[in-house]
Amino acid sequence: MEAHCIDVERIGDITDLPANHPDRRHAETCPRCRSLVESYLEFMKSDAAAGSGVEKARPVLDARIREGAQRWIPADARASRLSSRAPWWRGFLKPAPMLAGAAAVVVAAVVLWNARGPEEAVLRDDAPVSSPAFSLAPARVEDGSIRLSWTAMPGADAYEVRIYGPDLSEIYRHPATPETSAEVTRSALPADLPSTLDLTWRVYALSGGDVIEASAPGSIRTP
Amino acid sequence: MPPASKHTWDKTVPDEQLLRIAQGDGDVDRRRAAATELVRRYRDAVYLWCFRYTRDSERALDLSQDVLAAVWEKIGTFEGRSKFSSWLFSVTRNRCIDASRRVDLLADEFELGEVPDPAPLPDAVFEDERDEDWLLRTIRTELEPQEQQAIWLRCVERLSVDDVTRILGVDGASGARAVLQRARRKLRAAIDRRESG
Repeated sequence: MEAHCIDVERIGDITDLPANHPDRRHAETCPRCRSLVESYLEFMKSDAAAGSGVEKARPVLDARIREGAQRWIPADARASRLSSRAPWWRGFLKPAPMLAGAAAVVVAAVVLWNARGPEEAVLRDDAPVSSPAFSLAPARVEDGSIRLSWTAMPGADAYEVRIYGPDLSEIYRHPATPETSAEVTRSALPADLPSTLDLTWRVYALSGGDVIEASAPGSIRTP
Repeated sequence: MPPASKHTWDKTVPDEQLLRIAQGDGDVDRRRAAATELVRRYRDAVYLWCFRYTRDSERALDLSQDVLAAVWEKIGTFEGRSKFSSWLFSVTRNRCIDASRRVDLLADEFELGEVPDPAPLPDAVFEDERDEDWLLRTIRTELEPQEQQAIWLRCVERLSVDDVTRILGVDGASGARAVLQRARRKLRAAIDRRESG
């Protein structure tokens, strides 16, 4: 390995570099780095080789992933959990404070449940896989409004447009409409959204109120 | 299948976005679901790379489970200086290399293709790391760039001969085999010179 060879952890970034970048040029001429790039590309392709047994392996690996997820506690959550072991709250374990605390928790839960809004949802794929025939037209921004349109989905009797913020949390949901277009005014979006912010939108095709198809996500920019 | 969760993400959501959610603040379930989706995306890639390396499905399964365990240990502190996929590739590759007794640059095609954990040929058994450094230097000085790459791809990255042939764009019936044989002949000659000198 030469002194300026690319670190393995960075090998996936090399192909994104401009052609004249020194690291890219090095990777194209150094046999070791070129091999690493090729090996990374094979990793990303993940073509199943004959006899690999990947179908058999999947349930085992999924179980391991589930197990890992259940055990995984993000570092900051772990820290807050540890700090919550401090003895100051032990007094709350006495019956009266416990009852008062439980009542407060119930009240808070009811308030939060009633106050929950569409912004708690996130871009998700629990809807049926989008069909290529169900597609979004490019969004147009006119007079401070966003005009959205899409192709009709056979079997759908209404469409629901959802817009997601940069963190993919839902920030707006347009009432279901039988039309294949909708207009979203700037004022309908959260007031604190900056202009020219990239957002994601998606249309859900409904039949009898049930989602039967979801479009692929599209991009729009706040007016 | 990932754990049952109210949080699932579209496949178009980039890895980096999922990583930000997983490492961000807020609902731990949501963060866990984002991390799960991220890991699950590469389940097959990790397993298949391990299989390609070991040519043994049982060993590949063991190794890929080790990799997944390592990923769960480190995902919270992964700094994101490189792509997640690149980092995961490096974890997978290192685990496979660590698990084999050594990178055997002189193993022949029979050993690479048929034996899950090939032993080095007698003339490639080195006393210590200095010998390996010498061999790596020799590869650079004695072999043509195409031969070097063929050796790297086949013996370190453990790509199949067909894949090496395709990547190198080698013509001819024997494909990359001829390049590999030539490279190994040169390396053995260099080793002989070293031992007799």
